[in-house]
Amino acid sequence: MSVTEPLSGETSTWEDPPSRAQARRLRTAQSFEVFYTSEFPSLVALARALTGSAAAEDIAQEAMIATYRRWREIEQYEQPAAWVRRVCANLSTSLIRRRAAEARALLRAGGLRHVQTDLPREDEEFWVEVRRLPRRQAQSLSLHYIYDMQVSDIALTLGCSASSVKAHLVRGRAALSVRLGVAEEDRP
Amino acid sequence: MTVELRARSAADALRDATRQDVDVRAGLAQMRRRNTRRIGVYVAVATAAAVILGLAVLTWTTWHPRASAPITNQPTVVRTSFPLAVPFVAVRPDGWTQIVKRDVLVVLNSPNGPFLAVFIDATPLPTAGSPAPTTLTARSFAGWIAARQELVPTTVVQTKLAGLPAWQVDVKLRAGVPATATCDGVTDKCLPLFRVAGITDPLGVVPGSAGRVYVVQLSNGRVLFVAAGGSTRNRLPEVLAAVQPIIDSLSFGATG
Repeated sequence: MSVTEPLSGETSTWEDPPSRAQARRLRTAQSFEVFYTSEFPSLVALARALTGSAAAEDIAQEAMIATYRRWREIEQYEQPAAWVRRVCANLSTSLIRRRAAEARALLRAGGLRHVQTDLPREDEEFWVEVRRLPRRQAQSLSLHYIYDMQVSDIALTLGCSASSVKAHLVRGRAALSVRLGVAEEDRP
Repeated sequence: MTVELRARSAADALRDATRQDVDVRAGLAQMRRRNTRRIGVYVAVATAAAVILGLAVLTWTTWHPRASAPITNQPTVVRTSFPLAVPFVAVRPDGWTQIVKRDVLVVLNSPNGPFLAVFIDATPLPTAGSPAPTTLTARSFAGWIAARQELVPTTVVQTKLAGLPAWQVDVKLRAGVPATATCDGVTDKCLPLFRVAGITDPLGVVPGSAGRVYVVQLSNGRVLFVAAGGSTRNRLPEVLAAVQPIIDSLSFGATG
């Protein structure tokens, strides 16, 4: 009786293929990572535009955590980014939630060096005035300028009608024009 | 300068500043840590709440015990009284039914045949060969039963029942003895032994069945009978096993 030895003593380096569930989890994790990488910086910008505080990154993280927990559902949406932007916009304009995020940011500040690049004075002044606007106007203007979004996309993101968004944008611009002392539109 | 231009410039500046400030890799790792930590906090809070709730329920039930429903195989204590004689307390096993007649006879029936009869103030029914006892004591009654020629008795044994002096004898009807009378509580014909005041038919022994009689001497001079029997298909050990919990739990009230 003889025993067949493996040729040249090679051993297989093939691993078991991942199960369907593992493969799905992996795909989900990868797709969220891609989403986070592309979306997070502008989300922080949105939060900073609407809060002006060091808690902006914390608020963006909160919105991302909420998205992460429901990612398998949200990634099926036509525009997953609209969902997280709406959460972030609402968190930023909710006083209680903003205060909670600021408190968390303060607690973490003990161990972390939080760097926030200062904006030029004129630009900072612009966002300060945006934050003084009514909530919907501030949200509409921030989404419009930070993301360069059209009216229909803003309406989808905020969950309101396009005509409302138009009205918010017009009123917001008019108010800013007065407060900043600049023309609303180019004069011919 | 217009609002539009100021806005575009401010948005560009904000995007640039944020791009410089934000470390996406670190942010992703931090987000995952926060999520995991938060889930841990939720679990800890839920566990603590469950423990507190459990302790509260335990404390409440300790201090406010609920009356538990009787367990199926646990006998139920019933109190049966003889207003004119001796009240007694005994357990009544589940399934056993109780018949009380004129406060001088209590019969506990099991669903399988065995029964226990407790009666008082019984009068012996004499025959030509067995005249009535001359003294109305428990000992003489037991002797009278054992002396009945129609019966096959065991030796009379002095014992105690619920702490009271008693005489015990096992009996069955001798083969070939005619049973012609109608006894209380049985459909078969019987050999009558006692008559109890207020009850029409006598108490007696049915052919084919065996039983044990305890004749108890009460301190007020009266005599009480505790008789265990069964149907013709019940053997005596089976009957005795069935009635033993009742016998063991018997306790009598004031006996005068």
